[in-house]
Amino acid sequence: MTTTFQPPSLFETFCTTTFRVLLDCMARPGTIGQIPEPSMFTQIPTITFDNQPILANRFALTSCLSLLDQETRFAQAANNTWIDAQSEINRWIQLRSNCRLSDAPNALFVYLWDSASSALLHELNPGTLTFPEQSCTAFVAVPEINDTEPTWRLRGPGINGHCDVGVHGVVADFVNHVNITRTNFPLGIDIVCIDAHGKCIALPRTCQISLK
Amino acid sequence: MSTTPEQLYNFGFIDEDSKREVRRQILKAIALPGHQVPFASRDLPIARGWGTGGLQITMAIIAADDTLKVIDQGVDECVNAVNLRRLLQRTTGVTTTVDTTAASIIQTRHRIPEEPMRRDQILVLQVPMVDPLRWVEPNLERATIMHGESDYGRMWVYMYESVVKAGDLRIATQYPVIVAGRYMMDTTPIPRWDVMRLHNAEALFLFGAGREKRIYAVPPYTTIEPLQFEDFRFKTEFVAGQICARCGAQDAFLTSHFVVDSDHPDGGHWRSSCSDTSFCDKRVLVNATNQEAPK
Repeated sequence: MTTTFQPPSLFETFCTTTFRVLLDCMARPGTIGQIPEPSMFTQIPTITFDNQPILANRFALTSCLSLLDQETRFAQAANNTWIDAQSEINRWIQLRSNCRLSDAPNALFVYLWDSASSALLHELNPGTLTFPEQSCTAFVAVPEINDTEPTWRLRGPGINGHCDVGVHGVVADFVNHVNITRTNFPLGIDIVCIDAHGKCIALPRTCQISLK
Repeated sequence: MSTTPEQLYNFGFIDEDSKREVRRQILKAIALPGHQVPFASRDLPIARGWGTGGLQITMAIIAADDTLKVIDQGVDECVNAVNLRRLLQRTTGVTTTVDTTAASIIQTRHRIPEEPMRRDQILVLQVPMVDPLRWVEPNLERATIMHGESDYGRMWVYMYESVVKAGDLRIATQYPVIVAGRYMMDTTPIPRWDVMRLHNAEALFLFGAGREKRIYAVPPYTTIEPLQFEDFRFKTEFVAGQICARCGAQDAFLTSHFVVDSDHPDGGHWRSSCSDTSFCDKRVLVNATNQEAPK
């Protein structure tokens, strides 16, 4: 008899691949990674705004989901408003991850459906001087990320000199909203931006962003 | 007797929730270079203090298409490295290698491989003692507050006292460094030789301490400044004229061992050779090929 391991499930493989993309992006801010297709999740509930159904960015929502479990507190916002814990989309997340739904100041992970919701970033927990790692991580859905038409210049650990990256279709104040969360390093919010095609960049709190 | 494999273990041995927790802490550790992030160190089939921190990091990050190398003191063949590699290989099925350039994940104790690491490689270091402030503040709670406040004065006094008592900075391994201008970090028992190889490197370095339940990281292109004084500078172990007895390398970290030799008047002699055996073997092979080549 030989002992061996169980082949990973589709979701476990997705979690590992996604984590490696996030790891590379977090270690090298400005590097554009590709989140794998979350094919195991079909029929993600929509939310309604102005009587119009809005689709989630499936790459951003599920890559956030890949890090959630019973030890994590989660919240999400769309159109600059926190989504009710009893809503269908929050219950969908909770059922699949076993996470606890929470208010913004206590959330360890948040998913922002659009860049306009970045105005809520200042409400999130930036950690404490003794335990800065207890801060929140925000996944933000953005329309498009590319390296051909740079809009931001990034500097900081993980970057050789500087790195130019294009993040398109975000609200004009987005960089301001991000910068406000990280004026008191080591306190701060770590941010992951993911576009509609699963392209991903990370903006850890050490990353300095300036407009091109 | 049945030959059917029994699928007893999860991929990568630890369960998915444990992996997720380690992954979350790794991401925070990268966002806070040099800061010690607590994690719930799991029980493993090896004792804590034998590489369980590094092992849990490797188990949390490893994917089926990775190529793994495990070294202990630079050596692929010693007992600890062999056992850790076998555990990881049996619970993941990944390809293993001894060639530094072929590996995507390298788990190590005490050394950074001599061959430069690339951006597509991750070095996972096993850490025995996490906190550089332990020498001056054994209370972990108070040391954590000192890190939070960047209160490193006492460590500078410790360094000064080392100079006054010993005439030089008397720190052999675990040399304290400042990472990205903020956190003081212990460099694990890597020799001083390797300390500056963490500075502005291409690869990502992840540090795991299983016994002390901490994870920390040095991202690529991050500044590492060893603690030193203007008149007492940080020095590596380099000795002018040093040479590896096997491959002839002069610019590598060497280890020495006593060779018994009855013909020698002292009954033996000391011999130095590269601590990184994979690097040394490659050079021996190249030297042999060059000698065989027709002139």
